[in-house]
Amino acid sequence: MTEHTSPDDRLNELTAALPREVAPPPDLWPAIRAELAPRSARTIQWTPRWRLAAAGLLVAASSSILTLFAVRAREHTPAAVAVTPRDTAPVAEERLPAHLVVAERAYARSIDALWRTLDERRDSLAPSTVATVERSLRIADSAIAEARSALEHDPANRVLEDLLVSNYERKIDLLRRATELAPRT
Amino acid sequence: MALVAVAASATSLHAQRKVHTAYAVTPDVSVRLFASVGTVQVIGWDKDSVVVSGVVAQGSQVSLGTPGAGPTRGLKLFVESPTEKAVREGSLTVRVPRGARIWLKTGSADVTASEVTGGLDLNVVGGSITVHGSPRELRAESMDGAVTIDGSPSWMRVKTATGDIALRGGEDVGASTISGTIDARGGEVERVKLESTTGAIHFALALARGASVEMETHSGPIDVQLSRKSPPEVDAATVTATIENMWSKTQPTAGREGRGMSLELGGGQMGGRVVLRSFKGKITLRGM
Amino acid sequence: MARALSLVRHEASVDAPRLALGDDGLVERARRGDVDAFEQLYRLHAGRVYALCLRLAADPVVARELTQDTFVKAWEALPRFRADASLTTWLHRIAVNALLERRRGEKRRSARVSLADDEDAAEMIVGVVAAPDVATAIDLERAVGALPPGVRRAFVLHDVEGYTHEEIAAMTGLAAGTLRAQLHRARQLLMRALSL
Repeated sequence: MTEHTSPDDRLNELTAALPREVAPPPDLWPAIRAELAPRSARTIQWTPRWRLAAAGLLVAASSSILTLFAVRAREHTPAAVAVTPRDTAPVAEERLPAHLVVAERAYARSIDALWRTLDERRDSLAPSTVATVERSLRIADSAIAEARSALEHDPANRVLEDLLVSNYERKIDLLRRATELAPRT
Repeated sequence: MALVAVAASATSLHAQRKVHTAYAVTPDVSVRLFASVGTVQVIGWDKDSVVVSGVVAQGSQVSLGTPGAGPTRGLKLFVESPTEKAVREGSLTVRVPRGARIWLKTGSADVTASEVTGGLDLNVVGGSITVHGSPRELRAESMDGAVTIDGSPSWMRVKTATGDIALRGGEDVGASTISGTIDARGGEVERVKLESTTGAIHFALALARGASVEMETHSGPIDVQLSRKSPPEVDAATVTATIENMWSKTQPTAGREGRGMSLELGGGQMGGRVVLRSFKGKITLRGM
Repeated sequence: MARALSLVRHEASVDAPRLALGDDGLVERARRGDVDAFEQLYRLHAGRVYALCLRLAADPVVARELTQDTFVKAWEALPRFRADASLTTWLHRIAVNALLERRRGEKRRSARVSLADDEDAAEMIVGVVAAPDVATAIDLERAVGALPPGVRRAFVLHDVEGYTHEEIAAMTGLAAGTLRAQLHRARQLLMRALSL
């Protein structure tokens, strides 16, 4: 950022840097797949009359799904309609604030990229260095897990959030420094 | 300014050989040194020359550059020893103009730097780093060696993984470790951020007017000594640990659902601000 | 030593691999009922859709449901999809409709989120110090999440996703003047929240 960057320009810079993709929870596809109605092999002729009828069916089906969701959300008895009620218990990451979910994806990408680089260069590191890095990463991961678990139960806690972010950043910094120790192959 | 140039000597000393090379340089010369040796000393002096001297094991690869016709602004020096034993036997002393900028990367060397007022960027894996004096800019990174800064750099960033960190203050200070301890005492500070995951933090630096201090751990205890004459604002919070205030009469309050504690204290106008955070490390405030 | 480092390797990225097949072939197969082809379309586009839903909803639980809704509806509506339009834009349109439907039906949110519902309360967004890299992104994401829903929707669709005023009007039914006002408000609130 230069001295003469206006607040508007700075906001534009920050916005442009936001990730456009965030990987959804890994168990989402199975939930979607379970709701996909089998499609007829016959090609449907989409006339306005058909469209209206299909729209009506779609609304009715959606209403049925939503009603079923409201009534049967916490039950495990078979549905009256041939769709599977959605599991309403949020998975662990969904208890985190949305902005942290986005941040964690960014951290995961950085960590993954650094790990790949480190793996490529690992043979040029001394065993004692490898041991130090491994030990330190175990400590960092343990702290991240603990902070994360606490935040899932108290997602509005800013102190916890800042501690979790700091733990992630120390881990990434450690990985970065470890990759820089080894000469490029 | 006299040009001093001495060719590298190939005289063997038992299984070692001496090295000695000198260059005429500008006062703000930039020196990049890759040294796979046991010890490296960097010493600032008042001459416009860089002199590299020491001993390395036979079979070491040494590239100390070639003296040029006039003072040089940048030098790149390379010393690599063939075995771990040879590394330990190697030792270099590098004399540089005080205002020089030094970038040093080494494996397991113990590095000492003194009397450099320019810039120091020291990267060590297994060895220790000790800096005497107050460079304008200092970056010191070690994995498991200790880092000791005996001076007050204007700008300083120190990082270790397991090595302990000892520092005496400065203007803009940052220190971060995973499991090492951080001991900050004996000087004054303006802006400082100290972070450790499991290591303890001990802080007893004087605060400059309007100082900004942040300390954070996951499980390491934080022990802070503060002056009562110019009291800073204090904002301390833990997630599950206790806070003990032996510095003033205000008692910390319990956190939500009885877990953790928090303590907020107003300070004098120019006393500065101290923010302390820990997940489960005890925070203790004491008077200086 | 060779594999020692991988003993403590972090869980692999959840990003799906890019596939060689273009959308066209997959859409055609999915139209005919090929669920595997639809899964591949999901893998290619879910990241964009989920990101939009996360920011629009500012709630990961709701974002998950919206994303699920979007792809289920996309499966049903795929026979109507015109291949000359961008599949991402089409999916985003479905996601926005799903969100609007949800908002029309839901009750007032809990107190924690009510700040975002109340435009006046949004004035109380406390400034945070901008910091580089991910920390700054977190600050911005948090500030976006705290915007009132309509203002947030305008900002996310226009400034984050890059849709034009006309495209947003078609998605949401908003008049141009209302959209302009919402965008202006969003930027004011965000610049204040980030102390820019």
